[in-house]
Amino acid sequence: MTQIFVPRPSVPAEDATPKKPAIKVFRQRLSNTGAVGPAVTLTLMAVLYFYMRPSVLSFDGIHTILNAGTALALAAAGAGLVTVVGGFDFSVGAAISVVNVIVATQVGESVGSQLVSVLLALLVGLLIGLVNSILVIRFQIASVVATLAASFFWGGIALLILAQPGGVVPPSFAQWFTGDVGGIVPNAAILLFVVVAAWLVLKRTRLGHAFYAVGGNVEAARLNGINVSGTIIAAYMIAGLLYGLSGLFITALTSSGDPNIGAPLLLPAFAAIAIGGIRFGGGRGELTGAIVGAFILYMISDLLYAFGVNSFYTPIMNGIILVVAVAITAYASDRRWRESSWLGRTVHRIHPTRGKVVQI
Amino acid sequence: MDNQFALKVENVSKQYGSTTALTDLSFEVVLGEVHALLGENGAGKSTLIKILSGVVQPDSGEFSTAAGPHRFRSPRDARAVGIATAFQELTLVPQLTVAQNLMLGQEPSNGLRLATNRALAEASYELLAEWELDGLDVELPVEGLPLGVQQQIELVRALGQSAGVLLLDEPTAALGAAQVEWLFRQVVRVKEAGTTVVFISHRMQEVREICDRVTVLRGGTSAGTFTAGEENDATVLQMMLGRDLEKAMRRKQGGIVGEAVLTLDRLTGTSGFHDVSLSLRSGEVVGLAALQGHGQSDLFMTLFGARRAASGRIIIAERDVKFRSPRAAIDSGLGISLVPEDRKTEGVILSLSGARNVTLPNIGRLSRFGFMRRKAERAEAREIFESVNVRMSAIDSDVSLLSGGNQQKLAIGKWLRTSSRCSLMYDPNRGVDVGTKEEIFNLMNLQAASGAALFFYSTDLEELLAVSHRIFVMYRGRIVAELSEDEMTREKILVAMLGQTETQMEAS
Amino acid sequence: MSKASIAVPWRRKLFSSDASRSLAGVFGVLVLLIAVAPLISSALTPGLLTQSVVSLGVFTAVVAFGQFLVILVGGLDLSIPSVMTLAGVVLTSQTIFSGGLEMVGVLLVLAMGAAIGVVNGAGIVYLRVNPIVMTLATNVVVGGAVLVYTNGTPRGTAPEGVMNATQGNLWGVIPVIAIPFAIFVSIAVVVMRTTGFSRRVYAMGSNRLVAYLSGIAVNRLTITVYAISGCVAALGGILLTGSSGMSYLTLGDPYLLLSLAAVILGGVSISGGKGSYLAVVGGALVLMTISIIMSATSWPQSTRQIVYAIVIIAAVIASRRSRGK
Repeated sequence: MTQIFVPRPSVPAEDATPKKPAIKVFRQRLSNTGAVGPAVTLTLMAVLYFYMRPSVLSFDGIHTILNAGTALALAAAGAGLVTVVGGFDFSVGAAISVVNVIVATQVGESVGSQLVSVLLALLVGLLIGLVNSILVIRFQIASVVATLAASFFWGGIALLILAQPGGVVPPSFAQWFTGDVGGIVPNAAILLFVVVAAWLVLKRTRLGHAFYAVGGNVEAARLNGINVSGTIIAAYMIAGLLYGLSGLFITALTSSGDPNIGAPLLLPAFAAIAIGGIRFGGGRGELTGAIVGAFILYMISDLLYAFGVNSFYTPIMNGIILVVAVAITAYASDRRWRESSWLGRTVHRIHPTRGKVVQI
Repeated sequence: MDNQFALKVENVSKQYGSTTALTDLSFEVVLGEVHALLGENGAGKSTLIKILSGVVQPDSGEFSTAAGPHRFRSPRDARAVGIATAFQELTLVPQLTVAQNLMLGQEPSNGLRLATNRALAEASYELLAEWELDGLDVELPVEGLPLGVQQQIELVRALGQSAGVLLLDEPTAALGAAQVEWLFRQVVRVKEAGTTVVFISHRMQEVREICDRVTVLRGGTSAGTFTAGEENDATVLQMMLGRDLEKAMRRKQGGIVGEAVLTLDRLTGTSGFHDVSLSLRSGEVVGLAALQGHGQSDLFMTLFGARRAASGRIIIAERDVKFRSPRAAIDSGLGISLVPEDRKTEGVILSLSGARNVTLPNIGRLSRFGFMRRKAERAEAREIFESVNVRMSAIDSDVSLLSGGNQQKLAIGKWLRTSSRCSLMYDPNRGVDVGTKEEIFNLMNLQAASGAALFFYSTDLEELLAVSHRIFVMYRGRIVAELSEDEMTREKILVAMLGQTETQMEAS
Repeated sequence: MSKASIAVPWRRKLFSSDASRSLAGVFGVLVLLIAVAPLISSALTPGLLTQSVVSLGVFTAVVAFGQFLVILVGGLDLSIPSVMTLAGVVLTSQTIFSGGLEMVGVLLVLAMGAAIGVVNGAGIVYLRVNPIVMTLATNVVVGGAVLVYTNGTPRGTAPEGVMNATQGNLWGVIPVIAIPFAIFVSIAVVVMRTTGFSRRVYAMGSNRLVAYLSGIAVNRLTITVYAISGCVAALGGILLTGSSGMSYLTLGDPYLLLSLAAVILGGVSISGGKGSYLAVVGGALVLMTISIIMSATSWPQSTRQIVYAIVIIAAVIASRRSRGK
């Protein structure tokens, strides 16, 4: 529409930015990311970890850690994005399983087929994300129910493609992910670096701001002209993309396909999200926090393993950490935590379309 | 060019379910003027602004701009046409920084369509400086800032759109005196540049300062439009508050006023009210007068145990009490009850039947070993329906189907069988038809006659005068006046409500 | 102001409310499915099918009661699978609970379920943790506890008394488990229709604020509801274990989605407030019928799972549409 009311010409002030010491600005911005807490925890954890297992403090050791934790990190990053916009994505495990079996059955020796596999994985991930978002937006199904049902669906597809663990993954393919460059930089590190860099860029685009706006205050987002539906679709699809990457990585790691490989990742992914400072309900937190959270989890479980603690205890620990992390995050970052009564804050979210209040 | 209108609505109506927000409203804003919309809570101001800014569509009626009739489908349409809005319920995203909020939806971008933190910060500081808002650190998350500052940010965002029409919905609600002055300076600036401003408020004094014309809304329609300064405050207040009630006859009964049953000693809430000391006596009807938002709502909620008090005491039967929840207040020896402000969301459960609603507080008493005593429950529901005179055929229908007046009677009725001896009522007669008002008065008198202490807030001065034995007036969170039966006059109440003394009032 | 209530034609009364429409809809679909089933496989005679539906549907119906209550108050319980598994595992491993002491074992397990529910509720109310996160965490912690307790392999068989109450058919026709099923449903329906508890739950689910301002102790009520959900999940695990005779690590897994789907099919909206448990039972039976019909096909597990997921989603969409949402 053409403007009917002639806008006032504005007179911008010259250099209005106040002289603030750059260090202070930097510190504030850093604190805003909410990644400080997880980063500190990571550092402390790392110190503890390397102290307990000094043998790990080598190129091989770091390499192993990265290889072991990247799949979860990517999965957590994807689910974390959906959490930022206020949803819950329980299809993480199934998505990874599907990608895994597809790649394991398709990939061949030639570079061409390997490239195709990678593309296929990413496309499948995008598709899964798209389907999820359609269920949530178009059919208005609560994200918990929708993604849970979707996980059944995709789990079935995974079974269809590969009923029993199997498949062949040539080492040349696996090397792309689990190998290293020149014996110095693990490929996994490069992959994570790329993802983190992409996120930092995405965060600064309009879409990036829109993610937080929709997650933080949907009504405000809509009143400000943000396309809420489009933002949510984008979030689910990007998450799907990350699941694709995670699936690729797991395929490289296990060198085989298994239709149930993704299932055990579900809870740790959410634990990583919580540790990473991403708030359930939306609007706050960094994807990098989820990645950090994943490695913290890995280190904890590895430490327990090294101490001969039964691996059965790992899930218990994950669960407790999840609750503690969420409670601490809520307490530390929300000043009105005490005043805010549970009365208004349970599972409550404003549904993006049609403005009706629906709980997710 | 003069008197060309910028925005016009004609015979516009809007209903939300069974509530009528606007009825046949016609309203016009002249190009280049600052036009105030006055009215109390529920008069329809917010709905009107939502229509003007494209958030909702009217059910009927015409909406036109200077270019002809218009239909906005979304706030984006309104923005595209050059209308900027600062909403009453702030449209800020709490977790984002000031800079991010200011730039939301209009982020500056470099060639790569990226908005770096630095770019956002620079643009924000420029914006803030342009609108004379200094000393703000744009990197801070908005949620940590005081409400007044948040409102200023919302305002700057609207101002910064350089719109031709600026809609400000209760822009001063959270602002302190200095901030209000700041706002007025900006309004004057934009006006001089040719922008048209619509300014909603319920504070008449502020409005007088900068507005050219004033329209008063009441009950969803216009109660009159006049040039600022033409009418004095008292008349305007009457326009805002006046109801159809005829000159009040004394409705109160003689009755014996007993001793104090509830005493407040310097009670201070967590927000909203300070140092409130008063006593409620059995058999007495005590009225409270105040303009909107002066602490009365918090006071009532705190008395009922729904909010915590920060300091001070509540004394019942010579003992200090602390209520942790409404249940505690209800179960206290005094049996405090509350008829809340908004019956639809706080007083009754719309999706339940009348019978279920009126027995809500008494579920415990009406059950034995956990099982509801159907006959007793039914009998009691009928008794209550009879006492409040709601037709029995509605007893099993969803309360949402009843009229506002009937809903309110049920909201009151549900306390009638709770042996409550202290009844708090928050504007019980708002939006209620004349006949029902009479009935509610009778109910109140009956309660008082049976020895209960009544404390009720009302925005209708006639009502307060007709029914109260004593009247308190609150202003800015404190009790500023206590008027006995002999002293109470409309003028005295008005004066106190406006926070002035009588001499100041005469001078204006 | 007459004392007589207006006489409404029974037909209008029956179909006048959302709840009865859901009920009619769900049971209508059930009857339809059972009628149509023989077309898919001759083995699915109505009699046989009904038998199977009842004996398999009871578990979903029972745990769905807990999910139903929790959703009514606006929450969600994702810990049902683990609690069921825990119940089964503990029941089969405790050989001391034999003979007359079986009841004690059952009660102990039920108490465990309730305790877990209390933990859920407390975390949600006092720590202000999101119900999804809280119950998810509990699910995993309890799952881990099961692993630790059984060392990876559950042992033992169910107590005889429990097996007797859940296995086999009376007079060759009526499944024995139908009796506990009927008893449970009757009790649940009676509770939801006649107790003060259900009044408070429905009030709180419809409008928490008004309930609070009418003196309902919403915090305590929430914890109670989660406790009941945990207890009922444990009951489901007991029944399941009795019926199959043994416990295994994944016995609770399918029941998360099943309980959610049953509640939604039964016409209860995720935002809480209204719903009838009887309709939820109907939803559970419908789900089970679909599942059985599909297992009678020669489709592999994968296809069945896919179709099942699609059917659930379609059913959820349909039930929302029919309620005008």
